[in-house]
Amino acid sequence: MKSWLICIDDTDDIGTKGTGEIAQEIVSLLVLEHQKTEEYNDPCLVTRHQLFVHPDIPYTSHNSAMCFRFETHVDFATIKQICVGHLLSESAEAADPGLAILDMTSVYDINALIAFGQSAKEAVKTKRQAYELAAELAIDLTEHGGTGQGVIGALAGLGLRLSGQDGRVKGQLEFEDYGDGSSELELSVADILSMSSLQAVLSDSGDVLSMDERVLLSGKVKAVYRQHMFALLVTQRGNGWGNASKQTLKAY
Amino acid sequence: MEKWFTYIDGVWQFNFGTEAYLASHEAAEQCSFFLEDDEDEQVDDHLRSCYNCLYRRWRPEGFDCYKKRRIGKT
Repeated sequence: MKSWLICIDDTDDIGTKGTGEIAQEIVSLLVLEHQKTEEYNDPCLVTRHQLFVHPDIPYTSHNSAMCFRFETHVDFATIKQICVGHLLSESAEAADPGLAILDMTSVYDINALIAFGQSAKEAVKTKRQAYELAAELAIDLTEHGGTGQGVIGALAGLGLRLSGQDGRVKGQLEFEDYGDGSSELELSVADILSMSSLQAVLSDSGDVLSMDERVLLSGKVKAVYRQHMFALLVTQRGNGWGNASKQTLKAY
Repeated sequence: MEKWFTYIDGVWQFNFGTEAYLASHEAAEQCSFFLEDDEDEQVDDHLRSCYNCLYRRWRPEGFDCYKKRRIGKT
């Protein structure tokens, strides 16, 4: 089994299928391939990484990359073929898709990759810079239409995910008896962790909540990627804790 | 809509930045083009908000309305 980190960027246009949805579909296709010979039990969560918003960057509307880790016996050529095939069939006509695939068992300069990702959150990066770093680190970086500008975000997304301190988890968390979020539900941290694929409940100041603390869930419940963990972010609500609002999650 | 947007260089720019949730709600309530963006791109718990709209394009200090941009100044 090998572990792969895969990131895509710049696949959409206003009114077309989003990059997150395309990433989730690629996950499903890869899992199907894996399951031809073996069960797959990893939740394989997709993380969304916000990149720099600047007039010189030709993003569609928000400039974010989508990343996931996939552990499998499926070989690299097949993984890439599935990713590229889906990008070609599902990306918007006006998009500039990029794809980055990192073999996590290889020897590479993780600090350089993280630095590139962090820099792409606050500075304009070029395709040349992305390709040069990818070549140096032996990361498979390819473009699949348009200007191919998406390679910058795809490489940056790998670095940000590896930093362990960036991103929101795509989708919403679902809990038994919670429904669509129109009513509230109070659970202990232990309950939240046992009923989800999350690894921690974190306060907005970064503290890990103990198992017996209680959290009031309301509205849409979303997770973040912090301290190398998939975590529910909570904020103080009265004397207790509540899941973070979208306004709070915006910064993640 | 000119209460909330200003037409500058061919683009309708939101007047109130990135944290003016009430203004964003008010503008979206008055807009017949509002369409919610992908849930993962929404940043406001109040659904009908320009900040959650498919047609907004973020800028460093705010956003532009692409639906209004296509219509132009009327």
